[in-house]
Amino acid sequence: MEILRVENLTKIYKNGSNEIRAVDNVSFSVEKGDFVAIIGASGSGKSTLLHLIGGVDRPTNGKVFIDGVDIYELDNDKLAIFRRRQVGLIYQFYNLIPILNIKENITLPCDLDNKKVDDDKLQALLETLDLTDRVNHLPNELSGGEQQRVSIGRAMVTSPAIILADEPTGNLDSKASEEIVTLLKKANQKYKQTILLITHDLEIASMANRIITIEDGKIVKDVRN
Amino acid sequence: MSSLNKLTFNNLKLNKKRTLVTVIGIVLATSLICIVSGLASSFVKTFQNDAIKTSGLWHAHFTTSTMEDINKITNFRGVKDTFYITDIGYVRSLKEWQNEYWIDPYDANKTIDFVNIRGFNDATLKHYPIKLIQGRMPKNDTELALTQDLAVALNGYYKIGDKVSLDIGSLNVEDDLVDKDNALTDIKTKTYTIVGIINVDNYVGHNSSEYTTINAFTYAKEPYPNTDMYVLYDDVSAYQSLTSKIAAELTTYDGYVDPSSFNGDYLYSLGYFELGNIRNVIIIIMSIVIAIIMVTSILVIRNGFSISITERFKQFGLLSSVGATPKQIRKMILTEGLIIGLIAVPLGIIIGSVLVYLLVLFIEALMPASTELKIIADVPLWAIIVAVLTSFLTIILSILVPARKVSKMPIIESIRGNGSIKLKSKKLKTPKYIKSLFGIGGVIADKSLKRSKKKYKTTIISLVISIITFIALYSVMNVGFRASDYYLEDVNYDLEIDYNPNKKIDSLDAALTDFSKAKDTVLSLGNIKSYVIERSYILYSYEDDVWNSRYLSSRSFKNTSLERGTLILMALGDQEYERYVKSLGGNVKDYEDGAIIYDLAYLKQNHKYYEINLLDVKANDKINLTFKNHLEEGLVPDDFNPRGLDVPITVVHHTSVPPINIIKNRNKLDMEYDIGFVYVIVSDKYYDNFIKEHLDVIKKHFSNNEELTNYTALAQFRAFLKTDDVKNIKENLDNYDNSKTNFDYYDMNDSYEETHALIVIVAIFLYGFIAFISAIGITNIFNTITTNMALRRREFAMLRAIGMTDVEFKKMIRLESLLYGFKSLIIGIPVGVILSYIVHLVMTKILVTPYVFPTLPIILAIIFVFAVVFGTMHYSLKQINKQNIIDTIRNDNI
Repeated sequence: MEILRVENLTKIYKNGSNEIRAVDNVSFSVEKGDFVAIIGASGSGKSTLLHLIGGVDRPTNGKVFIDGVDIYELDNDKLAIFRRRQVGLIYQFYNLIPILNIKENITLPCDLDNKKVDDDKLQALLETLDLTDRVNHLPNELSGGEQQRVSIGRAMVTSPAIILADEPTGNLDSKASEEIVTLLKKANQKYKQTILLITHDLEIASMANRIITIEDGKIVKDVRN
Repeated sequence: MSSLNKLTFNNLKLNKKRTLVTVIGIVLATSLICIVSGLASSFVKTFQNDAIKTSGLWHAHFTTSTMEDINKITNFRGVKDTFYITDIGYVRSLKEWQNEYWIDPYDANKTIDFVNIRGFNDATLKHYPIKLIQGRMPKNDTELALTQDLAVALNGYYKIGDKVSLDIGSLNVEDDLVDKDNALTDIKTKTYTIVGIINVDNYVGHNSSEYTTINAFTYAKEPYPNTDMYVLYDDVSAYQSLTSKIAAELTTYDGYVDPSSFNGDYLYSLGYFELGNIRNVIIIIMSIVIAIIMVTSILVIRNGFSISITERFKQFGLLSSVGATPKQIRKMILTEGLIIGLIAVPLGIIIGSVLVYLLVLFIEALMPASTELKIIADVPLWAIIVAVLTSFLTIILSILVPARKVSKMPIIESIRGNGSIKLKSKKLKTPKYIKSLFGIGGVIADKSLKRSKKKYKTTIISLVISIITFIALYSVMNVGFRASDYYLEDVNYDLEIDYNPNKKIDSLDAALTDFSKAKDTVLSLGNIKSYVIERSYILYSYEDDVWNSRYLSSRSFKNTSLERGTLILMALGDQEYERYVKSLGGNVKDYEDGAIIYDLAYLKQNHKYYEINLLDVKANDKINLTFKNHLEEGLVPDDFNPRGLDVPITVVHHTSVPPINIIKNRNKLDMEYDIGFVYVIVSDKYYDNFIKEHLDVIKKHFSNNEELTNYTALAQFRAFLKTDDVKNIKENLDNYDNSKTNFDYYDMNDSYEETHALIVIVAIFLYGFIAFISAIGITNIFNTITTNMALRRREFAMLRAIGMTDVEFKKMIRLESLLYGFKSLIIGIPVGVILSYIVHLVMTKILVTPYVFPTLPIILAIIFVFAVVFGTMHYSLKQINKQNIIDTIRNDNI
């Protein structure tokens, strides 16, 4: 089943008279349960592509369908609501809310929806993330790896259609990186969670079942593992 | 320029907006100090200058009769300078002076008996108000200047350039009695040339039923034994003791120094003469004002730097990591402060000084053209020094603390950014109800306030200070205006016309017809915007129980059977009566069967004035009005009880708000035998019926009373007009035949313009001060909130990235604003109220008034606080919204 379809996506930044095509007429689709890695050198446009897919940025041209919904047809408020239900975002720098504790950070998307998270489900998630005894801590009391696990939890808590991870291991040591990738892999296998991961680390990319390579905003290679 | 200094400059340039806000804060604070001290100094200078102009530059004066006395005064220790107006002698016998025109310029039935020749020298001319009317001043002892009065009395018999030969002798006066034919002894003849006509203040001559003198002046190089010596002391504050000491040495004084020996105007303007309590009050108020400015300025300056520094912890950390010493970092921060100070402080002083001059110009424009008061703008050096010192001292103190903190902080913590905030989960507990009430947005709002407690506190303190200042100053103003009500007569109408029929009227009907005819005449005189037709009738009350017990117990007549107070029955004419009733919140229908009691008096006790109501009555109470004047005619037996002449009247409203024709501050009870008066205001219909009823009562008791055949007084009235047509109406009245009817008019604009201008000036000053303090507060709040919001932009971006909608986001921010507002109001309002009460207590040293709870300023403060907080939050949100979510998330990464 197709969960994500990207059609002729283009993003042009204007810098004076200079035009930078960060994403240049990209089309591809992702099946439910896929674990896709997007690789490319820095500046290749992979982060921009991810943000366009996640609906935090709007393209110059093209369409993105998530679970059949044309996300750019939505107005800002509807898009925000769509995002918190259907898209999980993971960043290199975790971007947790420093004043909320771990549990509150994880349940934030549900809280925004005024939905209560099922206790059993939360417990299971915390166990998967190995954060059970950290729930009442604040982010700054946690290590980098732990914080990234929290942001994975936050991305997963709504069981979104797709998780978008932007260099989730970029700020971590190798041991923590391995933990995070393992965790994502586990989420992918256990919950059939669709994941789109950006990285420049080939070793991490190799854990995905499909690798898309981007150069100068264009897909140059798309292989299945 | 070293690279560190360069960095400092770049920082200031990069953070343009914040630098600007800090600069504005310092400019405001500095200029406010400048303005307050400048205006204070200007007013003092103005009044001193005015006092010197009108009464001369001297502290005390003595009259002497011997040369020894004069020498004693001149050489007395503590006497800085003296000048004199000396008595040379009197003239009578010369034929030329006794002509047919020789009459008193003020009284055509009187003749002048003697001319007093007096002398002064150059010092006198310099320090004493002598005005040249014509010609020139006498320059030697053969030249003479006539006073203007003398010139009038001589009626052109002598003119400038004429020579006169005068027989001058000394005048023998005993107990104000003069034997006019043999009054002069020791006569010497002297020839003078008349050179000018002058006016010398306070030298108008002697005028009694026994004899009259008038003055002429010549130049006297040395004083004669009989002299008025004017003295300027080294130390003004010792003027009283010095004067007594000098007087004790003089032959003319027997130990008693008359207050008229002092130059009251000048001493008053220096702050010394009979000021007593007022001086203390002024000092207290000035101290409060300066304290408020200091605290707000210190806060705004400190806050500005503290924000600027904490915002850049990361940068300082990076600098340390590449080897900058703590000292270098401190120096860098100090340089920043110095740069801002060097821009802001001079700017503040320039703006402050310019504003002082502009304000003075503005005040001058407000003052009526007729005023003699010359207003002087003055920003004294000490004010500038105080402003500079305060501002720089505050800047340095504000920098030192955070600078020390920065240089002591471990490098890595600074690099991690926001090193000042160490979050502990326990401190961020949010009560459950917030989540259930406001959702996750409420939780985040609440927690962000708890996180940045210090910034939160600064904002709260800034708001609180503005609130407190506003509420407390409102009370100052309130009492200030009441005090000015008391000291200054403010009038609401342009023209007063008094009508008095020039004939005897012998029936009530005839009187009422005459009244309405005259009334119509007045109203047809010109274009009248609104009018009051005031008729009044004096009545009395003998009842103890309707009077304020405090008033009664302080009266000397409390244990006698005399009347307790005067009740002035008054009709206003329909137009003003309707307006007045409406202004009291009533309607004419409910009010016309009773009386409105207007009642406000100033009772003097223990050298203070207390504002009180004389009557102790409320709506529906009855007061018995008694007609007393008919009892004083000797027509009734001594044991007659005046209570038999009572007519009761029902109170419908008891108020301290007067109708426009009554001047508020006339009712002063200075002495314990003063009888208070109260106005009983009724509709015209009621008034007419009441008078009729009254006459019936009188008739029943005294059928042969002569007054009952004279109804003239019942036709009299006073009209108070609001009109732009004053000139025309005055002309019409001037052309009126006053032999038949008699109209007198008084143009209020002549006498009250100055008073009104003074009240406006006081208002401008106080409101201006509030505006300034609020502006400083706003820069502070703006600075804190915008930086706080800017620091959280990454957090905000993340919240939106994971799906917070605009509406939810705005709701969260609004909630945070609400929390700011509530907290500051919860502290600010009670403190403000307490302070306003203290202000009230201090102000009662001048005038004791009932405490008025500051409801209006509280409401205004609430509106102000929310407007400022919401406005600032809205502004910062707009700034944040301009930024792209992704850029924010990515750019703020380390």
